[in-house]
Amino acid sequence: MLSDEHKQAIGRSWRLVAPILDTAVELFYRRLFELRPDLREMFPSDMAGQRAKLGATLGFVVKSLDWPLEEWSTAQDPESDLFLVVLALGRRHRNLYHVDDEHYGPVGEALMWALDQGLGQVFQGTTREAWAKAYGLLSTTMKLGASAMDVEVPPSTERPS
Amino acid sequence: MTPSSPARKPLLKGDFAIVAFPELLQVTALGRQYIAVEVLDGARALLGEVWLKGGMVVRAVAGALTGRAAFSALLQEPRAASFAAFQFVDQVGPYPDPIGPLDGLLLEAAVESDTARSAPAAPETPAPRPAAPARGRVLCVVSPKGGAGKTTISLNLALALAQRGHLVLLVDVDPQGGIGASLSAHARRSPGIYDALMGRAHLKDCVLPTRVAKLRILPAGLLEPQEALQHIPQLMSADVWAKYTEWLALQADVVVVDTPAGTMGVTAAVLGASTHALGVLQADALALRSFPMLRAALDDLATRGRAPELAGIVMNRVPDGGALPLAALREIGSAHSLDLLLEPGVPDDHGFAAAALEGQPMSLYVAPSGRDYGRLFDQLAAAVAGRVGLVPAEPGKLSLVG
Repeated sequence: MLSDEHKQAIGRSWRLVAPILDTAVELFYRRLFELRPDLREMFPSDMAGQRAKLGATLGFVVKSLDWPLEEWSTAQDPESDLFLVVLALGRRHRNLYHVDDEHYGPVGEALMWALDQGLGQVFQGTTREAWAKAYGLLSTTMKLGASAMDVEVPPSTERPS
Repeated sequence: MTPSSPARKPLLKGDFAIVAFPELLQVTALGRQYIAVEVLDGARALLGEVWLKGGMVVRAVAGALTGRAAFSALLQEPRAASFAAFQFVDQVGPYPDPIGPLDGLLLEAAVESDTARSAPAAPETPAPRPAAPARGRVLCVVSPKGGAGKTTISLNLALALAQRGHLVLLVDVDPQGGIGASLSAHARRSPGIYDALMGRAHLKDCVLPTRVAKLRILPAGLLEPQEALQHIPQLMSADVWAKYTEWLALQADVVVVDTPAGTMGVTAAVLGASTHALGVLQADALALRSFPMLRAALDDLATRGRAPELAGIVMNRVPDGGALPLAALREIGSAHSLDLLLEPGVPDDHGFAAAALEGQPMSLYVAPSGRDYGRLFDQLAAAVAGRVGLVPAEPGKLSLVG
């Protein structure tokens, strides 16, 4: 899980990314398609809407991580709960866009590269580690959403009271 | 409170071939829903379950085991084959006494099992800070420029650390005696560290108790201008100061040292005799340019093998809102690393200046803005404690009025 230090590092570095978000997202897609040209056909020819969506999603993720562990017991609306939202996102990506588990590797690589380009020397140490860890957790969650989201569960043979 | 089993709805199911159990638990910590994870064997018999919320393990049951023991047993359970995760839909809890943070429990379980499979995936979990001795930290608070609020921050940080249960000794080595404004008229006349340096008093007789049980103060005491001139070599010697800081470090979990403004002279010597440094910078463009002076001072000490570890930078007088300004982020981030910036920064508030003038701890000051400085400094103290490796203090009762 992300420590408070990691979350703070993500929040701080995001304030530097936000003013150049459009450029950072463009860099991301450019890098992704360099790494995996075969993925280009999965996206619309006009990428403007797609870039806006990714920027908004990243902003939502950063905002959703902005709470320290000591606020663990605070109520959270399920509609905006990061874990539930990302699970659903993973399921949609599989069902609608045919995203496979193996796609998450190059996406992560392109994201880290774009952040490195945008943040420069700031993207090191805990900041870099935090973003890598966050992406790892998010991609695992999306893969779970794609493969493990459940509608009905057969009753287990015993349940604690 | 005996937890009941509120209604739940299915969320996930799968086997541990697609995701490892520790990893599954870790991703639930991205959100703050109550999640129950059942661990099942090959025949889908229930081996146990773990309830989590927001990175905290609330409950664990495995057969006859509960709590930490159950959690650890489930992590090592060789029959574990698959899982089913649920989201609670009814009101759950509240649980005032959760078992503990997930990360900590995973590490504990890893140590217990002594196997790489049981351990949390090493690349994803930062290595824990090495277990530090209960005593020994000397945190030198420095500011390259005067007027940055260093003394007020030293006082409030020391108080907040003590209120979190750490044994704290606040030492004033500024001959101008900034901490002295917080002392009573009687205490201001008490001997301090400079009286000990000049041979007029024993150091142990100079330490003053405060109304906060775990906070003591060693004031600056008296240093006449003539004495300062005559004793320049001793006052500028890190070796001399090291003899004092070694003794002081035995008296507390952390010694917070308020130094004269600047990075030369006495401050440089005390830095060389400290284990950690904490920088205080004012959040305006001009003041931020002084950060390289602090960096240069530390680099110079490093060449002589005496550099303290830079625990972080506190930004003071942050413009309204408290969010660290972009100029600060760029200045610090380009020179070193954003890791250095401690949060929260201290906002620019008239109350801060007023309390500073009176030498009054901010946690006792009610700001007209309604800002809760007590909570702010508690958060800062938590950040500093983490950076210098202070072991979480045992909970205990603290009384302001002794």
